[in-house]
Amino acid sequence: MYSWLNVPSYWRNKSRRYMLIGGKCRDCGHKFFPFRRTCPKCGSRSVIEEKLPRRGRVLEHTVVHNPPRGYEYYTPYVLALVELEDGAKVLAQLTDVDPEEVKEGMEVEMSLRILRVCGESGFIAYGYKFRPATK
Amino acid sequence: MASIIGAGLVKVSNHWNMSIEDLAYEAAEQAMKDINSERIDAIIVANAFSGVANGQENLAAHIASSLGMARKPSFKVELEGASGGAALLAACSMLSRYERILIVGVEKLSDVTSLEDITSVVSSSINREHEGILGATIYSHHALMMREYMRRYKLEERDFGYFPIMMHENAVNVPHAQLRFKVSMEDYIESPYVSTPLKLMDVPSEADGAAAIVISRSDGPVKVSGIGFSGNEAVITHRIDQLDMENITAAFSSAMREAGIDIKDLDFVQIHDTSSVLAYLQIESLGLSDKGKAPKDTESGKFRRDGEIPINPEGGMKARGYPVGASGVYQLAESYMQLQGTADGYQVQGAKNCAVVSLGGLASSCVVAVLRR
Repeated sequence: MYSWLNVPSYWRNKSRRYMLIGGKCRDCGHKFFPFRRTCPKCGSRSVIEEKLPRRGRVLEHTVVHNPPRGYEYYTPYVLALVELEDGAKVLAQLTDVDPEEVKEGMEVEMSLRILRVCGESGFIAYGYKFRPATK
Repeated sequence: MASIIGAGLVKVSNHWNMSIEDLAYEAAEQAMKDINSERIDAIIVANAFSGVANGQENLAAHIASSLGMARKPSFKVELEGASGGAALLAACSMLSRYERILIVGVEKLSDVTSLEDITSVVSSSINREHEGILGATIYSHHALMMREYMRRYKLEERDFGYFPIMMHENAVNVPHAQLRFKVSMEDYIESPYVSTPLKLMDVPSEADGAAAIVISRSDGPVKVSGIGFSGNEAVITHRIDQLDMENITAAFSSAMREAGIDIKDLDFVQIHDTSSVLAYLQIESLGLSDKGKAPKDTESGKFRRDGEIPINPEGGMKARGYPVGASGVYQLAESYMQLQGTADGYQVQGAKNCAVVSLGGLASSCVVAVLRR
C-alpha cells in the first residue's frame, strides 16, 4: 500500500538511472544528480544532461535498520552520499561490502543492481548501487 | 498587526478512539471557547499526511463540516513539519479579506500500525522518485547529516544525548506531552539505531495530535510581531554544503527585523527538533551557539527552562510529541499560553517575547514567527 513503485515513474527515469546521467550547468560548470532544469549552485537555467563518472568516494554513510515498506528484506543496508570524480554528489546504496567495513573516503564504483522487487506485480526495479572500487 | 485571540490543544498520544475530525474538533472547540464560531470568517487546516496516512484528501472541507462551519471558506496547507508555520503566514496574509481566521493543525498517524508503513508515510517528505526509490528514509537523511556534523566538529555519539535528555526533563509536568518521563545518558547510549549513527532517542515518535489558534485582525492579548520564511534545496545531493542552514538564519533575521527586537529580548525559543542534530544546527543558525558548540552549550544548561535562554520549555517534538503537520500550531498555541502566563507545568516566568521555528523536511522550509504580549 505504501510502496509507490510504479511502471511509468520507473520507465521515465530508466536511462538516467542506468547510466548515471545527471546535470551540468553551462554557466558555472557545476555537475549534479539527479538531473533537473536549473542549477542548484548558481540558479542558471542553462543546464544540459551529462553522463557522470562511475567512480567516486564515500562522503558519509548510514546503516538503515528501520526501512520503509518494500525494503525490509534488504535490511540492514548501507546508504551513502558519494562524491563522484567530477564533484557531483549521488545518494546510493553500497553493495558487496560489510556495513562494518564502510569508511568515509572509501573509493567506490557504480554497479547496476536490483533496487527492489515489487511483490504484488512481480515488477523488478533496477538502478545504480556502488561497490568498493576495483584497483 | 495580527493577534492570536484563542488557542487549544489535545494531548499528543495514540488516540485510537478518535478520528482525524474528532481530533480537530477538540482543539478547535478549545480555541474558540470565548469566540462565537459565527464570528470566524475562514478556516485553514495544517496537516502533512492525511492523503498517505488516512487516505483522506479534501480534508479542510471535512473538518469545516465536522465543526458545523461547512459554509465558511476553508483549505489545507501542507508543508510537512512546517505546515503550521505556513498556515500562520497564510492566515496573516489573508487578514485584509477575513477578520478572524481559525487555524487547525491536525495529524492522525496511529491508523498506520506497522513500522515499515509508518516509515514510508513519514518518508514521503523526501524526494520519492529519486531518493525514496533507493530505500532512503527521512531518518537516513538525518543520519547522514549527523555523521557530517560529527565529523566536522569532532563529536561523539554521547554529545547528541544532551538534547533529548533536556527535552524529556522539560516535558515531565506538561499535561499535553506524549513522553512525560526523564531519560539518562545511559538510556540514550543504549537506545537502538534507527539509521546509524541516529538513535531511536534522537527522533520523536509518530503520534496523533491537534492544536488550534484563532488569528484576528484586531488587537489581542498576543501579537504576531514578525514572520520570516526561507527555503533550502529539497534534494540533499543538490545541497552544496550538507550542513547549510542559512535559510534558518535568514528567516529568523527577517522575522526579528519585522518585530523590531533583538535576540537578547527573547524570553524563550521554540525549535523544530525532529532530530538531535537538526536541533543543534537550528540553535547555531539562530545564533544561540557558535558553530559546533550547541552540544556543549546544551550540556551546560544554558537552554534549560531556568537557563539563560530556554529552548522548547514544553519538551519539543522529542518529548511533547510530534504530530507532524499540527506541530507548528502546537508551538504557536503553547507560546500563546506562555505569553499569557497560563503554561501550567512549563511556564517560563514573565515571558514577553518569543520566537517559534517551524521546519519542513530537512529544513527545506523554515518559517519563523516572533510573538509578543
